[in-house]
Amino acid sequence: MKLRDITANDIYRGNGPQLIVCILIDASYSMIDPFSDENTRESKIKVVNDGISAFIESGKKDIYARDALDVCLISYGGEKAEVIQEFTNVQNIEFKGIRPNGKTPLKSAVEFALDKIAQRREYWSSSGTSTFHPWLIILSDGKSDEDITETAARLQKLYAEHRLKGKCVAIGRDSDTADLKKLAPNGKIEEMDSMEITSFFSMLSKSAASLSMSTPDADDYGAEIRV
Amino acid sequence: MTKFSAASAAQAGAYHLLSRTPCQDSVSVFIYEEGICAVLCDGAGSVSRSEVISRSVSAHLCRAVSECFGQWYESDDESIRKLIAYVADEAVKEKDPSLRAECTLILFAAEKDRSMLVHIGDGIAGDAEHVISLPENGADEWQTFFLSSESALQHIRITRDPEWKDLLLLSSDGLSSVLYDKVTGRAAPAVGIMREWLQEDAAEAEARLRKTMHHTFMDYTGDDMSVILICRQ
Repeated sequence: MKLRDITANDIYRGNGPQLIVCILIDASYSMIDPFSDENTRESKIKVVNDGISAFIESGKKDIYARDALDVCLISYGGEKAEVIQEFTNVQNIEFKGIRPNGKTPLKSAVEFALDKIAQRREYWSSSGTSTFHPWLIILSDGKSDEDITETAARLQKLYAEHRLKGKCVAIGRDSDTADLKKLAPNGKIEEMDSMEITSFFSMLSKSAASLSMSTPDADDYGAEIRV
Repeated sequence: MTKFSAASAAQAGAYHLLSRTPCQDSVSVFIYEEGICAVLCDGAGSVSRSEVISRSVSAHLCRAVSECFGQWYESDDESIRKLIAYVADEAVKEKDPSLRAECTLILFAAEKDRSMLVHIGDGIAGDAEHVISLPENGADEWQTFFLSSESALQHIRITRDPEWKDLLLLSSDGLSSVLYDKVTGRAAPAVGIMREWLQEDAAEAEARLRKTMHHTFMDYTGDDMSVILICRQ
């Protein structure tokens, strides 16, 4: 009897542990402004859009991350948060960029994102699929138009209970970071210029790829995403 | 007369290869006249010397159960649970008194027409068509139960004379999602191919298992991989 070899067509793929990643992107009008550093004349939103595109493309190419990365993109500008991309595997995402649109409803956006993350965890849990600690990444260049006290408390509780990992990034070194600090694990934020934003997304995709090669039980209990 | 054949392999996944960490999965199989004992353990990823723990537990339990399967089989479930936990604890303490049996367990033992499946934590047991024993995770889905867990005695699942056709497959969590669909429990075509390998020749099946882990499975899981295949004639 001639024995058959097992190929990729003979196994289940994309059935393994999932890494839930929700990126909250500031789409207020101030994101049209250029960075104050001398590295670029591009607007903040252009640099962020390019960074997100690179993160997604890198995730699609990585053989481990591509099956594990479950990504949602939410912008907040104008009066409310808007889902740019519902949670889906990174391979399904065609990111076309975000256009700035008004105010900075940071509180509503974070609350919205936390609800979406909770729903997504429930979704995976109900199908018996294990997940790593979910990641929430908040990008902002300024102060919230709403009081964020209660939202910050909710977020800090989730960090403390090891139910969420976070990373807060101030877009531009001249940003008003007071609100962002309240939302960050241990009050620690990253203030980044244009070059650092590009580098951040590159490192973020490497961190996601590295984590997705490990197992959920090996995931550490730190509240901050290691980038 | 019932005869068993088996093939097994355990291999470090890409994540552990890159971090130069040893494979934390271990397999032990002992086939004797009209009997078999097969044990698969997956050491906790967050624990140091996890490979020593899984190796000691699988080897000791394999020996302990195969030496007197009849007595194990005839014991009540509570006694079996306590014995499993005791043997596992003694096994790791013999290596290093500071260690605890922080590993999952899937054990299949059979003699003539009697058999027993013991399972705690994640990993899967199934046949060529569907899952027989599902993984059990903790309150958070990334946690699982180990033999050293405080609640281990409540989570060691014992099935006497489990029904399976043609092939019994034990797998750690690294490969369970590759080999069985999590929603429907259906086996992937790969499981049927493995059955053909084992029915042909055990040594050949083992060589092909190792090769497939390295060349195919490793592209779809970063975790350690271990599998035991069992057939009866």
